[in-house]
Amino acid sequence: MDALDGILYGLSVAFTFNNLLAALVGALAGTLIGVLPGLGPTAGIAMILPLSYSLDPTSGLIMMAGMFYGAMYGGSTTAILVNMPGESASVITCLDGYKLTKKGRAGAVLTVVAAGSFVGGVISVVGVMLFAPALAEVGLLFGPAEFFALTAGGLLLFSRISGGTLAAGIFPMAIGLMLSTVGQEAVTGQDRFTFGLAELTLGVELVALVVGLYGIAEIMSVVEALQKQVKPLPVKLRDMFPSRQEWRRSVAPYGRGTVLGFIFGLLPGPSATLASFAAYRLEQAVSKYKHELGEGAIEGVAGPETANNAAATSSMVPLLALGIPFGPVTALMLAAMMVHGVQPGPMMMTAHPQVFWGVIASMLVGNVMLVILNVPLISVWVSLLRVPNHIFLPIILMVASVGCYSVRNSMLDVGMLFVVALIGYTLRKLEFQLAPMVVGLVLGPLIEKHMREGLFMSLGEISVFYTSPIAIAIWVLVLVVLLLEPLRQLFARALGIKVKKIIPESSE
Amino acid sequence: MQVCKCTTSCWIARLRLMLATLLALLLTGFTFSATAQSYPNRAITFVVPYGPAGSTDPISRQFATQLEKVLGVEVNVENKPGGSGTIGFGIIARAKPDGYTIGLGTNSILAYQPLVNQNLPFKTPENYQPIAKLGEMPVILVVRADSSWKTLEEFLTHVKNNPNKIRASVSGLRTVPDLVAQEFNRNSELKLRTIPFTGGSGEALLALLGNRVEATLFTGAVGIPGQVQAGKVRVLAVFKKGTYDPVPEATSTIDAGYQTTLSAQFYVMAPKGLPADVLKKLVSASTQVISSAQFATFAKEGYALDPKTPEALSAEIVRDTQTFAELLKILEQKP
Amino acid sequence: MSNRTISKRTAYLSTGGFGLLLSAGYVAIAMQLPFGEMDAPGAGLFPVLVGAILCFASIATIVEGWKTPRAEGIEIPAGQDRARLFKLIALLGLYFGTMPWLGYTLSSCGFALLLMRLLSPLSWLRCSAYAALMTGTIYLCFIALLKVPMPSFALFF
Repeated sequence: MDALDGILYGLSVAFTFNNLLAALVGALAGTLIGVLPGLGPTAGIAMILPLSYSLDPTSGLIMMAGMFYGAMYGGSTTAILVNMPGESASVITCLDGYKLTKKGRAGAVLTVVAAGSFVGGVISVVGVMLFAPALAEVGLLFGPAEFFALTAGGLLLFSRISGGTLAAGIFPMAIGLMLSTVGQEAVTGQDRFTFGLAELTLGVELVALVVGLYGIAEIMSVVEALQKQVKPLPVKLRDMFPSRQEWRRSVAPYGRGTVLGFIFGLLPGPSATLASFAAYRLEQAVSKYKHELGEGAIEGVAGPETANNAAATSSMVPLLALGIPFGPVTALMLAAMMVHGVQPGPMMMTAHPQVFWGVIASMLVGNVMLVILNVPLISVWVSLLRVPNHIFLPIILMVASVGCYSVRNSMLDVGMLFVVALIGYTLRKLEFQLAPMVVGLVLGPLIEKHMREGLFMSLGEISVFYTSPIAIAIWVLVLVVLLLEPLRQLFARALGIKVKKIIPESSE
Repeated sequence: MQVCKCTTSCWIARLRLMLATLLALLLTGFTFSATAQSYPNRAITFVVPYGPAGSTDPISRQFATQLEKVLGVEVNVENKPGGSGTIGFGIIARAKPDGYTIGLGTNSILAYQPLVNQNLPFKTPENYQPIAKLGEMPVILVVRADSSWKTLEEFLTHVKNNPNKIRASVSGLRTVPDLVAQEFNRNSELKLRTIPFTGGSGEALLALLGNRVEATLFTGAVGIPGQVQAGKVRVLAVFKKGTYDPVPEATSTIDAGYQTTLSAQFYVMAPKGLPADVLKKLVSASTQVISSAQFATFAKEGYALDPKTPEALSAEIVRDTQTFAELLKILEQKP
Repeated sequence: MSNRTISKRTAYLSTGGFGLLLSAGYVAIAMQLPFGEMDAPGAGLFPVLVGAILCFASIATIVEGWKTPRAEGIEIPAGQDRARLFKLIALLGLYFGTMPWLGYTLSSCGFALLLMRLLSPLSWLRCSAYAALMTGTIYLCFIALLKVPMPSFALFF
C-alpha cells in the first residue's frame, strides 16, 4: 500500500464516528492537561490508559496521540499567559511569549502559536506518511557517540540561549547540571548526593524545577510589585490577532521549526523539549530580528512551538514503523497496543494497516480539530488575564501543586517547587539567566548516559566518539554555529563592510 | 460591595453552623474507616513501584481491572517510581495491613535490592505478605538476522573463542537480563560482556538493530515477534525450560544443557500482618484472576503463568536472593 | 515604595564565592563515588566534570563581578513590598509543609484563604467563601473526576 492509498485508507478509518470522537476527546483532554502546569502528557495518558483498554486499539491509540499533541498545544498557553510552562517543551516559549503578553500581545501570540503548531503538525504528518519506513532507519543510525555529540554540543550551544553575559548563563547551567546528578543514576544504580534520604533517589524532577523556576518565581515577583501592577485593559478585537508584520515574521520560523522538530522527533530522548531549544537557538543564529529575542520577538515563540509540535508528531514514527518507543508517551502507547494484541514492529504497517494509517490520518484530523478548538478559546484565555490577582494566584498555585505532585506522586516534588522558586527568584533578581538551568537539567543526564554507554560499548576506546561520520558532522555543525557570530565580526573588521549585514551599517 | 444585608451576629451564627457541619462530616469520616465492615468495603490501592511507561504497567493494570470485578470495589493503580522500585515497595511494606494497600513486587526489588541497599524496610519475605504470582518473564537472546550465527551453539562457540569481546546489550547493569548473563557466564564458564543501555529496553534493541552490539538480552518479548517477522532479528535462545510462546523457535538453554534459574518475576504483595480473613479473600480473588481465561489471553504477550501459593512464593524469593548473592560475590571479585 | 539597592559587584562576587565553595563540596562528595574502569566508567566520573564546570562558572561570575563598576546596583524590594513577599514565602512554606499532614484539600483551602487576605482588602468571610469555592472546584475536577491521587488527611494515622 503506497502512501497515497494509505492516507486515503487512513482517512476512511479516522473519519468513523468512534475515532473522530476519540480524537476529539483526546485532543481536548490533552489541551486541558497541557494547560495545567505540571501535569504533562505522560500523566494524562497514564490516566486514560484504563479507559483506552475498553476501546478498540485504533480508537485507543488515536485518543492517546490526540492527548499527546493536544498537550503540546495547551502547554504553551500558560507559558505565554503566566510564565508557567505546562511541560518542559514549553519552557522556551516562556521567554518571549510572556514578554509579549506583558506588552499586551497575548491574543496575537496565542494565535501565532496555534497556527505554527498546526503548520508544524501537518507538515510533519505528511513527512511521516511519505517516508515512515525510511525515517525509522534514521533513528537507528544514532548511537551513543552521535548522541554524545548532539547533547554535549547542545550544551555548548544552549548555554547562552537566553542572552546575557557568559557568567549569567553558565553559572545557572552548572547548577542545573549539578541538580541533574542528584539521585540514583541509571547505569549502575548508584545513589548520588542523596544524603541517605530515600526520597532523593528520585532526583530532581524537571517539571517541578521548571514550574518553580519560571512560574512560582514569577508569582513572587508579581506579589512583590503588587502596588505597581497595571490592570490589563480590555483587549480590543484588533489586538487579539497578530499584525501583518507579526505574521510575516513568523513564516520563516515556521519553516525552520518544522524541519528541526521533525528531525528531532525521530531520535530517542526528550525530543520535543530538545527540539524547542534547538529551534530557539536557530532563531538566535539566523533570524533577522535576533536582537529582539528575549525581549518579546515573535520568532522566539513561533519557531520553538512549531518545532515541538512537529517533534511530537514525528516521534510516532519509531513506534509505528519500528515498534520501539522512544519516550514515555510512546511507551504507553506501546503498552496499549500490547494489551490489544497489536504486535508492534516493522510489519505493523502491513499486518494492521488500519492501526498504522488510522493513527497517522488521525494526527491530521487532530491538528485541524485543535486549531478549531483553540482559536475561539484564545479570547477566553486572554480574558482570564483580567481576573484579579487575589483570585487568580491562589488558583494557579493550587493547580500547580496538583500538577507537580501528580507527576511522580511525590511530595518531594512539591517541596522542590518551593526551593527552586526561591532560587529562581534570587537568580532573576541578580540578573542571572534561568533557561540555561533547564538546559543543564535536561541535557546533563543525557550527556552522562551517552558518554558512559559509549565507553561501555567500545570496550574502553575513546576513539568511538570521533570516528563516526555522523558524530563528526554534528561537532562541525556545533563549531560552525558557535563561531558564526565571532567569525562574522572578525570578517567585518578585517574585510571592511564586504560581509552582508542585515542591519545596514552607516559606514557604507 | 455588600453581598448580604445580614447583621454580624447572623453571619457568625452561620459560620458556627458551617464549622459544626464540617466537623461532623470529618468525624463521621473517621468512624466509617474505623468500623470493621466486611472486606472489602472501599477502594483498594494497588501500588506499582515503577513509572507508568514501564513494562510493569500493563500487567498491573490488567490485574487491577480484573480484581475490581472479582472483589466488587475499585482498585486504583498508583505509580510510585524511584530507587529501582524500592520506594514504591517500601510504601507497600509499611502500609497499614488492612488489605486496602497492595501492590506489585518483582524479584529484582525483593531479592536483589536488599543485597545492595541496607536501609530498606524489607529484607526477607518475613517483612511482607506474598499474595500471588502474576507471572514470569524469561530472558531471550536475540541477534541480527544477517549475522552468521544461526543457532545458540554457533553463537556460544564464537563467544568462547572471543572471551570478553562479544557484546550483548541489556537494559541496565544489575537488571535481570544482566544478572541472567552473569549467571550463565558463571555456570558455563563463558565470558559474554553486557553493555548497559538505559532508558527502557527499547534502547538495547536499537543498539542491536544499529549494529553497535552483537546480541541483546531482552526481558520478555514485547515487539520481538514483529522484528522477527520483518526479518530483522533472530531469537537464538530463551533462558527457561521448554518453549516460550511468543518466540517458539527459540532454543531453551536449560534443554540445551546450560543451567540458569533467573527470570523476571512479578508478584502481588501486601504488608505483613493482614487479618486472616482479609488474606484469604485476597489470595483467593487473586488466584481467580490469574487463572481466568482473560488473564491467560493477556499473558500471551510474553508472561509465563506459574501460579504459586504464598508459601511457595516466599521460597522462590529466598532462592532468588541466594542466587543474586552468589552472583554479586563473583562480580565484586572482578578486577 | 522606596527600593533599596545592593551593589551588583558584591552580589556577583559573593555568588561566585558561594559557587566555588559549592563546587568544592560537590567534588569532595563525588570523589567518594566509584570511578570504574575505562571500559566500565563508574558513577563518579560525570559529577567530577560537572564540579569542574561549576568551578569555572563560579570563576566567571567572580570575574564578572570584578568588572562591574562599583556604582551599579540591583534593586531589591523594601518596606511593604518586602513584607508582602516574605509573607508569601512563609505561606507557601506552610502550605507545602502541611500538605502531607492535613491533606491537599484542607491545606489548599487554608492557603487560599490566607493568600487572598494577603493580597486584597476583602473580609475574612468573603475570602473563606472564595477559598472554599476554589478548593471545591479543584477537588471536583481533579480528585473526584480525574482521580489524581493527592495526599489526604493523615494526622491521626
